[in-house]
Amino acid sequence: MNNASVPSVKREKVFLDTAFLASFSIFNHRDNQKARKLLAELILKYDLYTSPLCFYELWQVVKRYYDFSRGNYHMIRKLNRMLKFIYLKILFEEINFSFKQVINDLKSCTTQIIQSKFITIISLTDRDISPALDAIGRFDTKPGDAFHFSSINSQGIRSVVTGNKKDFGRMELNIIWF
Amino acid sequence: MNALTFNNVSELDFFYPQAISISQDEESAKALKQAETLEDKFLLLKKDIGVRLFNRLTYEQKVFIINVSNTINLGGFVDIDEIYNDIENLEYE
Repeated sequence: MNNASVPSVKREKVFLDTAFLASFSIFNHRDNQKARKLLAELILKYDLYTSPLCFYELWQVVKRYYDFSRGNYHMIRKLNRMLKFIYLKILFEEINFSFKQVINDLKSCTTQIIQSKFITIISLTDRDISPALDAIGRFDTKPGDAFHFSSINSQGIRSVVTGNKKDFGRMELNIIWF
Repeated sequence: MNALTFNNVSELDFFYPQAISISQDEESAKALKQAETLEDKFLLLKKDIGVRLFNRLTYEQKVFIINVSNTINLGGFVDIDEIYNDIENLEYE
């Protein structure tokens, strides 16, 4: 085994958010090639972390991806969104998938990541709950992002790789955009 | 709350999908789909990330990137931003 690549110094920790996981996991993702390149660069420089919450979000993305690509049409969804926006309760029927119907894709993307020794999964604990509430107060963020922030903080992680400016932009973290 | 739904949308032909955003190079995507062997996948990875970066990675790291990437293939291109917006709206509802 080649040990030449094993770092002798402590490396900086970086958190990989859902948008980034989705970018390299989804074949047709528009940022797929860019994400693969960034993943290669990150492996060389950092210790990589993600959390169970990211998998929850990734699974949502995968199911929605199915809904959009194999469900019915974009325009119907846009119309529904507009109708909801103006509080009209007249909606066109959308064909959506269940999570069970997309379980194979959920398994394939999840298993490869959790079995890898290059990405560590952070545990969420009861100690992350109060800091998550604090994060909502400080950053006016959503519960999911607040839990991300508290779990990242509890692990001493200061940098996040993200493609979604809405999520981490307002938090006190170093952002690696892709 | 009960919502009135329209099941028959055939009259809405003119709404049917406009161009779904295609932002990844289709030729590159096609090549990736056809890459069957590990050797092919290594070549494709080298092309994607560049020779210098590729040569700095260990064998294990290369295999890792190949294994974790492109694990989901639905065959079509979809605007991921729309999906994020949709999920975000769900969280607020």
